[in-house]
Amino acid sequence: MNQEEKQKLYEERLARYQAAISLEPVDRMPVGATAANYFAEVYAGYSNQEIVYDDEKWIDAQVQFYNDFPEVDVLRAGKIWAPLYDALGCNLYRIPGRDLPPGGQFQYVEMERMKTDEYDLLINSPVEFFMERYLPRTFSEFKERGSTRSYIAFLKGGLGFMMRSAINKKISETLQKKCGIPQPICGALLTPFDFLADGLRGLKGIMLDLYRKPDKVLEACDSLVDQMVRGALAGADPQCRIPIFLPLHRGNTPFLSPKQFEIFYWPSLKKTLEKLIAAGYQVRAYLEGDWSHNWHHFRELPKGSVVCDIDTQGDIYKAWEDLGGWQCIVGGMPDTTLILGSPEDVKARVKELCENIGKDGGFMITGGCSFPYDTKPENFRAYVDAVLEYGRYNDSVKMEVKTSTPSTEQIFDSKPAVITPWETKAEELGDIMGDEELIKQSWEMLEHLAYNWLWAWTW
Amino acid sequence: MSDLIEMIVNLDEQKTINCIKKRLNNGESAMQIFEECMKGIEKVGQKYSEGFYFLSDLIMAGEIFRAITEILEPLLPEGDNAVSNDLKVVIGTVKGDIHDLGKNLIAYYLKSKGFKVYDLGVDVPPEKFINTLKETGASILGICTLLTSCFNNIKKIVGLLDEAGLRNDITVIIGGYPVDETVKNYVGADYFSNNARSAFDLFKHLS
Repeated sequence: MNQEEKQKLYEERLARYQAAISLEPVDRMPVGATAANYFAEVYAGYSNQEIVYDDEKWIDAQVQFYNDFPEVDVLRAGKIWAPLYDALGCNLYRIPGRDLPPGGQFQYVEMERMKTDEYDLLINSPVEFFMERYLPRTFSEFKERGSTRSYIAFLKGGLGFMMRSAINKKISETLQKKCGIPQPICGALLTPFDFLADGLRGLKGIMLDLYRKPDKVLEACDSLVDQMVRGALAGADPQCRIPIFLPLHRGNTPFLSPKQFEIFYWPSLKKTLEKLIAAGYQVRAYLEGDWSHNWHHFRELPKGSVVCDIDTQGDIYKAWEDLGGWQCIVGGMPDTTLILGSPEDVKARVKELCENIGKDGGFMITGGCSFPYDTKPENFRAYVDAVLEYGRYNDSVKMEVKTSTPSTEQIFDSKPAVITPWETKAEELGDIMGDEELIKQSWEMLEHLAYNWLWAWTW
Repeated sequence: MSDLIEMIVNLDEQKTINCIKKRLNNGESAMQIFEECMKGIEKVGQKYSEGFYFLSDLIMAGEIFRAITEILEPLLPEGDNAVSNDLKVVIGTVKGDIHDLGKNLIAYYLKSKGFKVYDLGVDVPPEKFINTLKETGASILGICTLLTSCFNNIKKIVGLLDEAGLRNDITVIIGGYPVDETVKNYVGADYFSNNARSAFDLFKHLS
């Protein structure tokens, strides 16, 4: 296949994916359309350690996977680039090969990195909060504040951060050019409650705060909305073709009661989603755990604006009943069927789902929020073949890639924050001999990058 | 329902602590207060089982329970455990997995029900489960995981139980979000639970 044919294939797949998630007419269900294909990370035989440390192998693993499963329509495998975490001594993850066996699965380490009396500091002085409290608890390389080692750690953290972006870009471009395959997501964020719950307070901390200081939790969630949106837009697709990734961690039951969800979780989540939608984006929401009590809220948002991934614990039939035809729903193949079942089990499940759900689209079959690491290759093959057999709607439908320009004006309630404002710098510089605006723009661009960097270490 | 029980059921931390301190100052016996508290905690569990309470409520109840035992335990007669049912449970998160929320909740629940709980923590090597079962004479083994990639490590523990000739004496329960009937059969366990509610029911049944 020459380059032109690959580009055509890329566009055909992207258009199919866009149509499916936007509930528009589509020829067939996209294949393999998860945003987390863990199976593809390890299928080629590299260890988990090799994938998280060696970006060439990370890319090659995906190309090899694609070569054996060229019917897959979108592909994203892997999230962690471990050297960045090592450079800072970041304690967010246990990493394969470092503090787990090379074949182990990376795991998030939850702890109380923000104390319960630090809400006001987070809300009113986030820079001080991150620099003086949060980051020293999260980065072991900052332990000796002011030491050469700590300065170098900052430098490496900044360089590594940019390198990680470059690697992600390289993956995306390689898959586009070599395989004609698009990414299912671009850019990511946490919802304010999860930002607070995951990295900052930890599960126990946030749960107790709901009783002990509910007003502060609400105030913090509200104050985080603009920053969550800004962080997401910084990494989003400039042509608005691909949805932004939003894994949702603590909004399910049993973590929160439906009443707590409505008070503490939903208002800031809704506001965040509304801003991203107003900017021109769709959002891919990973509803981790059982969301059946709460997912009806996604009907409050515009049709086709939020792609809802249903986890294995959520009932896909109920999800369809509650959301089908309004938001695209994704999932339906139990993890255990992929890991322990037979190809016949997989095929039967795909057939059953296709006969009962989404006969006209708006539904994509995948594992629950991922394809697990231990998926049997023969089961994945059966899944691919079955989707192609049973997931056809109308071969004559022609789809085209839709693009638009993001519209970020007027969606924010606050000005973008910086650490050192231009006014301070300009005063220090004194008389500027040339075009001040040109200098100011570059200064602020780097300030914004640095400010976002401070917020990037909670998950 | 006494005021104290009601305060606990309503998860009112401060009022509960104040009430206990006040009643101790008035000369009431620690054991009597403790028994009342246990009734409150049990009612919280009941509300959870009935779907009125959720995990956040259980975590708060756990915190209140911790505060209660901190105050009352030193005042209770040693070795006198009014709610003991003599059942011993060894529990832990399987090798390769560091998740402990579900395990901790179950351990807390079992303790409140009078089980003797040997909590081995997270990332527990298979051999450690077996050795602890031998040392303690416990008859129930609870193995937890959140990761599908750890199913084989659970299977290994059950295999070691077999090899040690202990399999028929031990009830093996696997717990965690990804486990189901298929996983239970695959690893050779006796029971499974993928939510706290069914786990509570299961242990109630076993006791």
